[in-house]
Amino acid sequence: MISPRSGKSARKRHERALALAFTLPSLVLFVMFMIVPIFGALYLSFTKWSGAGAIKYIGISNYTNLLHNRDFWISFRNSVILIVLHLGFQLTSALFFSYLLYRTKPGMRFFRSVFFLPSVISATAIGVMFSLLFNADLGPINFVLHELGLHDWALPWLSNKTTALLVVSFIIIWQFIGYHVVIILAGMKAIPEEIIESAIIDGSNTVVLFFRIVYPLIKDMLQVSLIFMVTGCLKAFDHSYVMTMGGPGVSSSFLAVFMYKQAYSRQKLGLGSAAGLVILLLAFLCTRVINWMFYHKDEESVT
Amino acid sequence: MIRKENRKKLYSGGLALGMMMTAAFGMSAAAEEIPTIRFAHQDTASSEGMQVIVDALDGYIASVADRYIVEQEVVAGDDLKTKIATDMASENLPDIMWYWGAASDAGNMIDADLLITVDEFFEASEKLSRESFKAPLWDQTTVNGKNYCLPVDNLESNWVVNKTILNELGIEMPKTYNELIAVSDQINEAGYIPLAMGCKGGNPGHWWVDQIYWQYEGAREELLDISESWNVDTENFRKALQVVSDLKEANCLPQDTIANGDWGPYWALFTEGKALFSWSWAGGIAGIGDGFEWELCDMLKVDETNADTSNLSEPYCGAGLMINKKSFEDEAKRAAIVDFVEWYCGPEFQAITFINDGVVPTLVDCDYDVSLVDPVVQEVVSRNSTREGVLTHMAAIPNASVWADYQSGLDEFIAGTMTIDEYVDYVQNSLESNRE
Repeated sequence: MISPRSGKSARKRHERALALAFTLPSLVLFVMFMIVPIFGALYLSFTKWSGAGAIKYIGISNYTNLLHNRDFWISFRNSVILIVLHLGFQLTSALFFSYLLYRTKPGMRFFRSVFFLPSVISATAIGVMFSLLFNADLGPINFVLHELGLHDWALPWLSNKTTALLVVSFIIIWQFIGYHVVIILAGMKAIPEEIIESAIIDGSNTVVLFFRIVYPLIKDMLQVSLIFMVTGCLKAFDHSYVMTMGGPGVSSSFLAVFMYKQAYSRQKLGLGSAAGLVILLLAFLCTRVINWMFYHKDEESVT
Repeated sequence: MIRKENRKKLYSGGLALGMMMTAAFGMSAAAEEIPTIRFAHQDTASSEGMQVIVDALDGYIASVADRYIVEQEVVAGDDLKTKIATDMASENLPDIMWYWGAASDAGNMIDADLLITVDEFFEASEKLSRESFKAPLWDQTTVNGKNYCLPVDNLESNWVVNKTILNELGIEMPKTYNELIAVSDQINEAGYIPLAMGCKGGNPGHWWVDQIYWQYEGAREELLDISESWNVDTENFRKALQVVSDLKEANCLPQDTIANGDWGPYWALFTEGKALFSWSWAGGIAGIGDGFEWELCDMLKVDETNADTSNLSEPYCGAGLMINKKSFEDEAKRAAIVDFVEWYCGPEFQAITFINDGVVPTLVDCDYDVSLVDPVVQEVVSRNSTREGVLTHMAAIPNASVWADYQSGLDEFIAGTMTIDEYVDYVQNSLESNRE
């Protein structure tokens, strides 16, 4: 006779086996294509290798090289600027538009799709399209500025060190606003209707409703959005590479562009791997900081 | 005694085992008989002419399918370099590659002894020899005195002038850079660009800068000496950069040389009728169309030099087929590789690429129906047949990293965000730090 206790443990074993069976394929793929390459890159980051011939161990030289590399620090600075611009414009715009959609009942689905549309278009296509728009000699933007008599505003957008970075950053911000709108809107839609109705009955206006009711209840979604945003900035590549190849020089280059150029254009796989690991480390640190900020604030509000 | 249901299991198991063994033996037998070779290249059906070329390639591959299988790995543009770098790092290099043969691109494969020399190939080939190819073409891909690249990508280039703009503005055609600077304001005021030239990722700016540099006496020797001296910081090079800087200052170039850089955008300025002068490959020139009046012309002369630009052209034959040494040493693949390369570099396919894409035959003997070749391409080839060819920094710089810095810095310099001193120092520092 089987005791109820042993039946329970058998069921548990069965459930564990089942869970393992379902998890195993993705776990194997994750280890093979994410974890193993990370260790591969870690190994390469201590070597000098062009991709062919003997691999030469050079200790931490690639990391000290990065510390003294002008292009690395410009790319690092550009990535930080991109993050700041994302926080300043993308996050606030996404919050604004998602709240607008949340409070707009008719046509909400249509506008949600419209906002989301740019984020499904390939970054290459977006890059080519904006290169043409911002082309100072043929593009419509400068044409309109000249027609309006704003000749001083008609700049060589992609050949100027400052404007090239801002244009590329603006396009990345614009393209993915809709992506974050969808995430944040999902959080807003999860708020029970009764809470909103009670607040309105109690006399809350739209601004109070947002800051006192909606914002505290969508913090989890904001946290997710913020992590995607910051890590996305750290690995930003396509737009910069397609529009300016990170140029002029490295003035619109981000860390991922720097990494790619070192590994492939300059055939320095060790230095490229070291840059890749720095990006990974920064992404990990930023994620931890964001998680800590949200966790810390939650703790404070509980006490 | 075996029970009925077990007997069934036994039969089906035996049958499955038999099928697997047959398949395994069959496959190994087929593998022994028909080798498979991998061919990486960048021929895509991007135009009507290229469609004909791709069809010819596919047709030949289909025709030899009973002897060997060719797996095509097609990656267009400079992304092919990324693909080959990845293949190389993962020890998965294709058997045959269409690739750039100068040290700045193939240097690491050559240093790592991954490629055979063309002479090793010629020893195995009955149809091709070193003498089959036009002798001057070998210079552009000579690395440490040897050649690893069978030249096939042979391009002729020329300058073009928009005569409609000249007529509209009532100006004489400038023959020198100073003459161009003198009429620059007039051209700009009319809404045109004096010279359609850009620079993104070094293209096409680096070709143009070398056309200026070459005109200074001694530039040729300086270029040929770079692989020995590891020095680009010469008076001539600085003078050439000064010409570029003066042209930039006089608004002779597009405002935005990055947005108008790379092969498509800068050329669009000319083909759209927006620029007075430009320069391109024969195939590009053949596609200008008849939207405005234009003609071929000599490259502009640098005023302070004695160069005769009516005797100068800038050809390019820096790319072709390279063969993986390991694959070539594999007896099972060797015959297939030789046959395929003989066909790809042979007269039949070269005639097809000439007629349909303006790629000039590299073989000494290559018959084709002249009437099928675009008249513009014919004219460019004919004009340049006796001219001196400009050598480029791309062929002279001995290291990929330095070449990447040269191109990246040139983007900055032509965009006007780097001075001559800064640019020369940047490239020179790169040369020194990469010298081993």
